[in-house]
Amino acid sequence: MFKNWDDVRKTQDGVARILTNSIARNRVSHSYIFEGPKGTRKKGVAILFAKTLLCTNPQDYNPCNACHNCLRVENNTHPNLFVIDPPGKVIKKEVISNLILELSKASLEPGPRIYIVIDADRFNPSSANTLLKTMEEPGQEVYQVLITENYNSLLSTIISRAEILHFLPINRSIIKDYLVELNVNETFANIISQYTSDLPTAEKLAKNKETEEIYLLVTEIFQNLTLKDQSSIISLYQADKLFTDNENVDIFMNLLIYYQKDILSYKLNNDNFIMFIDQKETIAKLAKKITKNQAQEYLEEMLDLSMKLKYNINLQLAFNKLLMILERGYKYATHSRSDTV
Amino acid sequence: MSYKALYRTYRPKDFNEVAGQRHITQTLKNALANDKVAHAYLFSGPRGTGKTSIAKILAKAVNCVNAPTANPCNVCENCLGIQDGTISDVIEIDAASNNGVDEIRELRDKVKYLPGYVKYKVYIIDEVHMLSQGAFNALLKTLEEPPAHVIFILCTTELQKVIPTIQSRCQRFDFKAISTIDIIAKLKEIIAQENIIIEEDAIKQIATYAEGGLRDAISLLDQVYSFNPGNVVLEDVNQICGAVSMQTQIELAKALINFDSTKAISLLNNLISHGKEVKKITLNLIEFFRDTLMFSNLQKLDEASLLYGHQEFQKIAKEISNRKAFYIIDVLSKALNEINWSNNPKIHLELAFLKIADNEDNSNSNVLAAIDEIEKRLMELESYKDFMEAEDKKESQEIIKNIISTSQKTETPVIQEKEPTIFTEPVQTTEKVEVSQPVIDQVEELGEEETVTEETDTEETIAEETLEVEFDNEAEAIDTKFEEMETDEVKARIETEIVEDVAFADEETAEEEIINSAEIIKKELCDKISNTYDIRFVEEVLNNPNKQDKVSLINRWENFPEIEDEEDSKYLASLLETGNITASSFDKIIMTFASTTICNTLMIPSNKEIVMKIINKKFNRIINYIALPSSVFSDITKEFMERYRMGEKYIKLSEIVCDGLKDVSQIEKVVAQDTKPKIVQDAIDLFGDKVKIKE
Repeated sequence: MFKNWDDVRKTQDGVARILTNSIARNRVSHSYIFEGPKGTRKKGVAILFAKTLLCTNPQDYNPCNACHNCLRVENNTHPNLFVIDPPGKVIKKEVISNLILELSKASLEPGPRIYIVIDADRFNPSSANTLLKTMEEPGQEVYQVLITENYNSLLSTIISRAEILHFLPINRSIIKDYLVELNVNETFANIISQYTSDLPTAEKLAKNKETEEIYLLVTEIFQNLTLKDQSSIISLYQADKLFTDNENVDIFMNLLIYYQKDILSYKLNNDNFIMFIDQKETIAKLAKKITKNQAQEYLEEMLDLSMKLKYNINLQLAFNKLLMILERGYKYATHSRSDTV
Repeated sequence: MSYKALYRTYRPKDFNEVAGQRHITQTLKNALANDKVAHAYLFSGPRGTGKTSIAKILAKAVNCVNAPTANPCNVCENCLGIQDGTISDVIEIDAASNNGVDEIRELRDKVKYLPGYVKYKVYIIDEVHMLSQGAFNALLKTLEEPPAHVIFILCTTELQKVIPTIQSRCQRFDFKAISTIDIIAKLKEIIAQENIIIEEDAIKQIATYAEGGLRDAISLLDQVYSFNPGNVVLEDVNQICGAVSMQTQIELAKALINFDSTKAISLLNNLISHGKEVKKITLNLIEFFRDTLMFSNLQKLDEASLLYGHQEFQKIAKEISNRKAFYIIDVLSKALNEINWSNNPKIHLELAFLKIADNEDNSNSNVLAAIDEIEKRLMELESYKDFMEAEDKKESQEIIKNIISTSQKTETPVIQEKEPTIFTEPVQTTEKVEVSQPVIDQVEELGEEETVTEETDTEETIAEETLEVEFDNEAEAIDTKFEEMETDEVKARIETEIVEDVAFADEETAEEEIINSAEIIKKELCDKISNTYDIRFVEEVLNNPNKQDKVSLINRWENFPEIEDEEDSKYLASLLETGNITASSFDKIIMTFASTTICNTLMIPSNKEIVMKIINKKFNRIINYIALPSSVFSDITKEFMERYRMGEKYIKLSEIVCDGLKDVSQIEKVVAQDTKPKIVQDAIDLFGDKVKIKE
């Protein structure tokens, strides 16, 4: 949790600059969109922003971190702070309607009211449209922060009503070095640093057994592709337990994409972009089996699937289909002999 | 009082303040001034173009104390009341949150009550596209004939979602995206009032990024001012938008144009680590290449674009071909579409870069240009092709004819001379000689013309002459030596024959004649066959074997084409397919067949001509051939092997002797002359007189 804006400045200079300037000059806009990759601590900044606005004893633009309001914000118990983070893949219209209703009433405590929507890309069209009017004119001293990883999936009418703050991704190598220091396998560290740019999350993932299992599963799948008589679909079935968690599915999908990208990178002789460093041999073998176009095709297939994962689809079948496509491509590659150069 | 965002502070208060949309403000002003305000309006257009603002101005204008007036006064009680939202007769409804039938019914019920303070009750229904089907229909009747004191203003960004029955009941106004110039003008107004210090270029950049949405532009201005309150420069704007600076754009574009995917991707990584947004990068690149197209093709300067002044941009624009630019824009646009929905936008863009770079391998624009050139040449070639084909056909036909006629010509006199010795009387023979005299004379004349005067040996002249006609230097189809040998022999034979003839003329004894003729008949048989089945031909092929060619011929020894104007070609081709190639010396081959009949058929000169045409058409070269029964050929090979073992260098073989083989060199188009079907002819050939034809 950020204590003051100087902490934010270390990693997100631009964001800190805009917000502190706005606060100091009393030019705080009523709505912001915080946009940036996973692990850039957007929510932390949003909470700090709320704390600064609510603090009864602010020092310049920094909150005091000692007053009643600050403490309550920290514990997420302040009645004027609404954090909207409903479970599920969609933020429904009812949630927004309730919020609007709540905001239309007089506040319980004096001072500004702030609502923060976590993962605002989960809005469905009706909830997004419902929010539009409120976003434009939320009423006296109401501030709103929408947090998202990809603001392009928001309605353009929402975007135009807010100020957008871009969060910079954290330098990957810092995370990687940090993980390596923790005695994490270099390849594994490399991949995790690609997946998240948040240190605590990265550490958590690195220590998580399941993540490691997923990593092993992915490498196994690709190693199986080099063998004619092994199908990875079975290993996928055996790892069924892993896929009960949405986060794990996301990691799995991303690792597949990274691996395929490595193959493509190898194909293009961009060796230094390779993430699965200790898999180089397998990557080389697989790269020889397919053409550049095929490699691109499979990568596109995976990206396509990763987009579909947002919806309610049958995961097992979707992954099976993907593996079949890969197996057809890699195992029965017809031109493998002629294209080895 | 807390701070109000600039775009809310600077909402236009009357029609004159509205940026752009002159076609709409003018219409509305005239309608207001003439007191001809409609009861329902439908405003549609993209975000930030002033729909809600104009709706509010309209609400003020109709209720202003000075009404009818073109513009609200903004000083009277009514105007101020509506502005502050204290007059409850102007009702703003958010259709997105009140989209059910129930809400609309409630609205319909309230419509009939008179307004409380002002003349008109104005319903501003925002985001009207979110109404449900039922709600739309519930609104229909009210919308068509509302009470006189009610005005509806419907606003939407998505006109296509509004059902046509609603659209037809309203006056429709389509709002356009505000032009960059209008945005700049409006921004400058605000900048002047807010005392913001900002670079001219930065304003341009803000206006460009707003993409026609004034609200976006003002928000952005608000933001950059917070970012750098001292002096806003272009770089600040780029940084906040996540946009790419011009220099980097140019570098990236260069990498793409040079198909350097590695460099492009590392530049991309660099940009992203500086917080640039993938979508913006893609958009920037698309714009960049669009600008290059505009610049190189139209030379038209769009003042709002910053790029045109740039030296390097101009250089790139001049160098890049349209095709390349189109291709790059195409790929990037596709990627952009995917980026909008993906959680891995970076990978999508990287893929797009790879695709562009891939272009180098597959359909590089240089290659494409080359293809254009090739296509052009191909067109030229094709026009020649028909001509050449016709020529070629003629030529090859001539050559084949010549080959056949050579053997005929060289042989003809021999037979003409010989035949009488066996079957005719001496007197007739002399006549024959006389008859043949003019022919020889003719040949002599020919020879003289060619300045090859060998009067003593007419036969040789003929042979050599035909040779000259037949073969160019490159085609050594028939060995000169072989020809000479043949003619030499022929000459010798003629001499002996003539001597004999003279003897007959002198009326020698009949006995002698019989003895002579008996010997001759035997010799004749060989000779006769050798006219058609010449062992020297076999010798030559066997002594100059070309195994590679043989294999290649065998591999393609099927599917012979037809020759259009020859009836028999199909039949001959089918015969040909049954044969085996046993030896080849490139321009001469030996084929073996199961039966002697087939051999005889194939060796008939007229047929041979057709067969050679077929072979020519199939293999594109002239191949002379000899067809032998497989039994004969196996004898020949045996003999050849024996002699080969003995170490002979040029192996000479004994003459071909076989019962079934006939001299067919004199038969002219047997098949064609005969009305009988070929199969019957074959049967007759096989079984002789025993064949009876059932009618």
